[in-house]
Amino acid sequence: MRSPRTGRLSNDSANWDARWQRDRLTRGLQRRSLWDVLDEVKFGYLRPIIPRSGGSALEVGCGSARLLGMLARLGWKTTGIDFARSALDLAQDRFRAEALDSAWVRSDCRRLPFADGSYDLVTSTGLLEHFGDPTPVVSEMLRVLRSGGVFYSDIVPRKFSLLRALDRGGNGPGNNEIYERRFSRRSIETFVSSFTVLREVRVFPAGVFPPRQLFSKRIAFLHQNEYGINRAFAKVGARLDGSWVADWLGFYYFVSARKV
Amino acid sequence: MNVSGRTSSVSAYDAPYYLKREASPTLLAEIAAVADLLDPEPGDQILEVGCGGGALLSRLIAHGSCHVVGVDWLRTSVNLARRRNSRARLLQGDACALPFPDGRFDKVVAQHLIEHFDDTKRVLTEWHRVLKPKGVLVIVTPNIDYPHPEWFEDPTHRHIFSEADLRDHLNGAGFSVDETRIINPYVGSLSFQFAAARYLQFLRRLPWFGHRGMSLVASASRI
Repeated sequence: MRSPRTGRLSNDSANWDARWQRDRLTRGLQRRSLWDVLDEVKFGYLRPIIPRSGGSALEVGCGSARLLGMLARLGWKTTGIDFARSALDLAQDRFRAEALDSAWVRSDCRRLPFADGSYDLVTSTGLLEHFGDPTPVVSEMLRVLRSGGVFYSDIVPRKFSLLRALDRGGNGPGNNEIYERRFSRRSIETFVSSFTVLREVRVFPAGVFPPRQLFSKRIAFLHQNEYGINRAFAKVGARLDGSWVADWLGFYYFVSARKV
Repeated sequence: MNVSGRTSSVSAYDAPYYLKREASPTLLAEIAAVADLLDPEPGDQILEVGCGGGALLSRLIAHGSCHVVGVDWLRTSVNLARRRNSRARLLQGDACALPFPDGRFDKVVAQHLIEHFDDTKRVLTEWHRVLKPKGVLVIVTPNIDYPHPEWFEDPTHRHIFSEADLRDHLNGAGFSVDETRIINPYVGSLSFQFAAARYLQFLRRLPWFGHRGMSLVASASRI
């Protein structure tokens, strides 16, 4: 919902609800896209640090729960949380289509309705940057994580990236106000390390992908082959992850740590 | 404690102040030292006196399975801390007259609070009262030997302690001092202080840098 005065997108649940509803109507789950490639790459990083035998996983701000689906396919017991009802509807569609099972909770992520230490893995993808002050969210995520469990989050700060280079107006103030925070690699490290309960904190820049605008419906060939083209691109692009090039052109930061 | 005298000078302790302060690596280094000395364990009852914006409370809650209570003198701080820590119990109150029975807590922590009192003995005695026997008190306060005292100048500061001073006060109030540390070592210039807080903490073990550190951290047990 654009505010009539500033033309900016607001960050409330009604706005997110509308976004996910639009996604549900227009995108559908059948067509694989750039976002699937992205999560496959992410999952490639995540997989070596999580227990092979599975366990229980919580995704906070799960959206359409693509990553959670990958975990569920490996036999993880999953829970998805979002404060937008239509996001949970979309996530449920995804799980139902694959006959997977998960718990869905509509809740504020600053107060999670779970007991201390009840999950082996707590994740969020592209969530923390939407908070001016993400401290309460991380504090709650870590509270419900069991000791020895894995914390994983990726953060999409307000910065230049190849992926968003062609977006109208860029990813800055005036266009996408939902990205509340600028984060640098260093500020993420400082912030995450301040949670003294975390060890093995790892932060690296990632996500060098071609501009997403290229794959809009305007150019039919690119639109139809969005998944394949990006998968091919990722073979090169993902090699840059962790380097200064990814810090410059990539669009997110990969953050992982383990609770003491 | 002169209650009426402080109301005007503390008006700057608001949300922007706390959020800005929390981004500072020196404060985060203090939080790390506190967590290390406090060593929160499952089932612990922890009290933070002077919880401010609740930065430390959030980190303690992240440990899970301990019960955290925050007390602050200022309504604005309590409201901010409450908004950010829906799990903690937060109360507005006086650190010299805590609304708790004797021996209620396993651990008490006070970050940058003790320097605000005229009567240090009185406030330490009160914290002694609410602690269980063998309970742990962790204190963070500015170090008097820091070469730039203007850095933490504040009209509501009453006492800036040296390491020996603080030990004496703690011993005098019925605690046995377990450890004192001077962290955030002085590196010769204020502009390097933040970078040093992240990368040069090891300097605190060297004599010249160590003694001139920014913050004094002490942990003591109730006898």
